[in-house]
Amino acid sequence: MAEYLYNEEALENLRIKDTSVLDRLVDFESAREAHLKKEHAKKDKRMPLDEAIATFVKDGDVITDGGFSYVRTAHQAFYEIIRQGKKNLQMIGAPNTNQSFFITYGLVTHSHSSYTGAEMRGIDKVYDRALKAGRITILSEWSHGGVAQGFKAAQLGVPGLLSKQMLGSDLVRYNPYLKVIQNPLKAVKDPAVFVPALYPDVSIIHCHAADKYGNAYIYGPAVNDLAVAAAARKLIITAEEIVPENDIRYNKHGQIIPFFYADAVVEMPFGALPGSMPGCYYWPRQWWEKCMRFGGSSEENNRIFCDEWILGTKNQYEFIEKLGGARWIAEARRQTKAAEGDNEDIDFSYDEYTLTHDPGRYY
Amino acid sequence: MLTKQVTKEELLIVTAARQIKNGDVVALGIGMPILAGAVAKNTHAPEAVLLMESGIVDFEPCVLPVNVADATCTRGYGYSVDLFSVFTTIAYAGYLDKAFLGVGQIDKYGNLNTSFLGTPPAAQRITAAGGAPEFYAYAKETILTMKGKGFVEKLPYMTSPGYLGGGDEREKSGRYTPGSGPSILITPKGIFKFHPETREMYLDALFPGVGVDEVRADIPWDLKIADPLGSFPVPQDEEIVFLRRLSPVSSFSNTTGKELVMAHIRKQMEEKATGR
Repeated sequence: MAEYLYNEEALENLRIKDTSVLDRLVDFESAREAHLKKEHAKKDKRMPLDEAIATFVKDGDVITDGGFSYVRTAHQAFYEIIRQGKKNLQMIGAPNTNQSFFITYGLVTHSHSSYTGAEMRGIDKVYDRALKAGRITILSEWSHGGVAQGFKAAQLGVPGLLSKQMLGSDLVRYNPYLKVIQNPLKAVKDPAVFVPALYPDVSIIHCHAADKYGNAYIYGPAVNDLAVAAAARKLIITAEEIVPENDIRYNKHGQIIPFFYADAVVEMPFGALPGSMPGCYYWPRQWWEKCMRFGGSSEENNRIFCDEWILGTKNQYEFIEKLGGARWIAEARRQTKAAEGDNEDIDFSYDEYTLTHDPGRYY
Repeated sequence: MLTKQVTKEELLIVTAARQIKNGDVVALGIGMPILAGAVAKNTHAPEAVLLMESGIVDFEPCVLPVNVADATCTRGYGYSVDLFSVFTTIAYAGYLDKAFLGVGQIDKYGNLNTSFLGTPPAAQRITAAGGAPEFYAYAKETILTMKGKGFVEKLPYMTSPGYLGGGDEREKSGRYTPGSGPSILITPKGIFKFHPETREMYLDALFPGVGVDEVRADIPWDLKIADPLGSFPVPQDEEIVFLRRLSPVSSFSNTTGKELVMAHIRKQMEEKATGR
């Protein structure tokens, strides 16, 4: 394996002694090796979710969060990783909100931190508790722009990008991958941060539609996913529906992930649940409120919540049954259409979950 | 003519909205900024371009989002870019006029902490950086909003650098796009600005009914006060009408709605207590 000259101040600040744990994320040689070895032919790559996870996610892998926190994120695939008990995982993303589901079960042990929280619903107390208890180690601290740049460098096929991002921020002092250098072409002082290309081991990207080869279509913001698809050593596409290749070729004018990155294609209706899928279904807001408020209140409650919803369901259909079944589907579809102004009813009020009031429903 | 009194939250939102000029390209965040953006776009700044960090550009909020990639932002949005491009081809390239940032902790030169309330990694973690360092480094102007009392003498962690040690230190560092930096901080007690030379934060206006001592009580340094003090804007009917039409039917109505109701009740009780 190649050797790296990590930012020593950051290693010290983060108390990282054995740096080998950092290597895979920036190891271009092994990423290219993986890309060379994977199936290049245009073949039918469809398989069930459990098989895709068992085949392509290994203990110790660097995995990525996808979509944007709870929008078009492959949550149901994440839950399958948890059910299969994959261990010693590292997680990176911008945002990197969903690592706490894995941390709950001790599966993600190393974090490449960026944003962790649930916006209007507050800070991530599960992560905070795990940090204080030493159950998770921060390997690097990032801004969203920084992570995005690392993935983009990998997509562009360059060793890294020089940028002005994170300069002067303590993030640079807590990120072993970053180095501040002078712009070599400028006569005056012009510091820049070298952000290395980032190569996660495995990414799971949830899309609106895919063909059997892995050409995958996204509606709405792609966030980092086009870059991540190119950067990852292994890519699993989960899709709301599998469509004929023709459909992708001639009908869709959105953002497409090309098939040759994909190792597996999984038909996964409602694969973003409990998150939102733009144009398809809106998220169960009470579920997230319960997750943050009840689960956030103590480690025991967090475990009760996750056991019920993650280990207590086998797949997305059981998850939907718990949310309210067909009624939930209808409401979630109505809400997402309302959100985009595609139906007449834009009443978004709902019965909020609080610690003193459990509405007992998820729409 | 409006009969119901303008609430504290409404006045703060209108104050933030007035920072947006017609034609500005503005990066918003969840909570007050998006309300401010919606009010501005629908009143005095119809040609403003609203964008979210998630890459949704030129959207028209009619229902309030709870997430920066929320489906409610994809209503009639112009186009989307990836996260990388938000910070590079829009912000760094020079197309971003204003950015709104929420503040956890701030020092007198506008340096921000949103990461750890102490020395990491063992300290209490808050939400962390998100895209704040980029917006702060590249936007032509940044508008800060803070709910709590996060003024500190020395930050335990600097997530997003402001004017560093003050004076021309930010400009001289060569790190940030020229002219960038915070222009204003809006809190429930007042409006704060930064001195053009020393870059030290000073009190520019008091929230109606708040005294200077109440402001000073939250601030660990000897706060300078503008002379004469400025004032909060007087909300126009159209701004309040729009805001009330937007807020009650939103996905966000529960928190904000409750805050609005609570503020209203508190105010009534205060008025009762003072016999007005």
